[in-house]
Amino acid sequence: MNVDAIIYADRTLFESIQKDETLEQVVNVAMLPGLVGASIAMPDAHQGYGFCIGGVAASDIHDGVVSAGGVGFDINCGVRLLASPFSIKEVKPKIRELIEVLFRQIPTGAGRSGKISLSASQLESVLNEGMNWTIKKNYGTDRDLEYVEENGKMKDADSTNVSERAKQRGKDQLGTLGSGNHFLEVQVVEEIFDDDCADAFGLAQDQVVVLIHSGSRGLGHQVCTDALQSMDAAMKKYNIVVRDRQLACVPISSREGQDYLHAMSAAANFAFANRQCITHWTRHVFGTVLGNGQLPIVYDVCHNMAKRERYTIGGAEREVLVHRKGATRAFAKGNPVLSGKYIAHGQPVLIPGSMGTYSYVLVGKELAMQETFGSCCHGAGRAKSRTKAKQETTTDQVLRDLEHRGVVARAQSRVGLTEENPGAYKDVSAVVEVVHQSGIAWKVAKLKPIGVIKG
Amino acid sequence: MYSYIEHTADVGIEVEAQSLEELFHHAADGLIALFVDPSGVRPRDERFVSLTASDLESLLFKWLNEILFRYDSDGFIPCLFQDMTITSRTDEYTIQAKVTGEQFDPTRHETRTYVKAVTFHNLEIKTDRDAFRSQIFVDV
Repeated sequence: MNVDAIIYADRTLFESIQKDETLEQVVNVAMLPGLVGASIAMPDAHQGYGFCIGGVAASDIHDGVVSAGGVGFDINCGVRLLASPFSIKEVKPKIRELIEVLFRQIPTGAGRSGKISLSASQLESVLNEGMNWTIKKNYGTDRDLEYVEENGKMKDADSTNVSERAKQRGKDQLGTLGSGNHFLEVQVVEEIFDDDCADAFGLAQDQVVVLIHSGSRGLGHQVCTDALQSMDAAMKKYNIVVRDRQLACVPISSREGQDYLHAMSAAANFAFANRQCITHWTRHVFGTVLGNGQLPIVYDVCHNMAKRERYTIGGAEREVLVHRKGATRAFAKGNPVLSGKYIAHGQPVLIPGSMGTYSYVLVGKELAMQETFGSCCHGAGRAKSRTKAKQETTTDQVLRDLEHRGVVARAQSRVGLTEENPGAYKDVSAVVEVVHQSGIAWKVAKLKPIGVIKG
Repeated sequence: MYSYIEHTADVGIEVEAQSLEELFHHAADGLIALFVDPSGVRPRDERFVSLTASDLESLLFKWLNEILFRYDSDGFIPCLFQDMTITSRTDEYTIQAKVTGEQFDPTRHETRTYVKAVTFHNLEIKTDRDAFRSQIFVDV
């Protein structure tokens, strides 16, 4: 290995990690050229394809590599938290209506298109401007930009690096939630662990919030597919050999590497704009059903991304490309990229649980900057295959279980409900506890779902 | 024929066939059945597909991603593959096929799992006496 492989886990989670190919994948990543620090797996890590899900790996910006598989197909799959002005007492009597209207208004499911059909030039604008395009179209305000990673726009995006194929897939998919483990949840703040941080983040006990999990849809998937082929073909000329073709990578400074990063950033911008469209309609529904659509963004984080960042490694400051695949940025207080009121506390880290279980808000800490390239876990992590999950339960059982937990659910796909049942995932509370105890991010609030819409 | 392999987060398709063309055909069938119930798809529209790649695994990768692309961008679902040939010249493999199917119709076609992409993970085409075998993992 070129660097160490480091796993963050407790005994139970480590036993789970050992059951599939996660460890082998973390080791394979540790063998990539130009890696610095360590190949890291978070406590929610599970087997992926090439890189594990829940993995972090940083390459030296000058002689390291970039790997499209180290970001994943769903570029900038991420999570956004909205705060509402309502308490659980005010929302509970209307939760069924709220969920029903959200389900009608927000396109979900495996269908290919939604409510927005972009012209070619509009799509170019979305890819280059990200969330700024949606703000110009009155899907939000400038304030929204402040509370999103990268202020909703990756600045080195270049739509000319996005293939026509990717654009064809994406042009009708803006403003769609997607399916699989993507969702929109209405939740209540059940427990506060850190009063100061919660206050700074705009969260209070019994407050109703909304968590949105979605990504770059078919456009991002195609950008990654295109890059994999390009990198796979180019590796030979750079004398790079990998143990799994899905680890295909090229020097960051190469033409293929730069082309990918520009396209990846454009796809990331599509995802930021996507979550903003969903935010806009969510606000509209809250306004219609509950009389007030003021839902400010608490924060918006990316799970699948590669970012140029600077860290002190071995006593010297170095610029690296941090690959986060199913991992969340968790910057500590004092970092100038954070919005004004968060600089004094650190970045909100949003950790969605599996369907029907708790989600968490954490805050990034200095230890993350020292040990994990400013990174943290991203969710509960799958424990079982979709096949097994489907075999162990039925749609009706899942719906009964959700009702029993007090969660009103609407889903496009009955099969999706069984695949995504909480039993298929690790215990998110255990995952978060490992992160908290390790000191890389601390717990701020625990969120309980009361309603969910899914694809 | 094809079957599905368990994978923690994604899905694997295991394929066995008597020829390369049959392997590519069954792999496509396995992929399509993941994202839609194939029983309701009718042979209404004809398309012609021609793809090249530097090796057979890359060709299989391209072939399956082509099917995904046409579905996700255009709503086209194949149900019949005919006149399929896989040929090779120096450093290049080519697949050509007549692909018949129809546009996705939400009133008649039942969607299943959304497939994001086909991956290169452990992608290998093996020959064993007269049989061709492959495993393909897809991101769902």
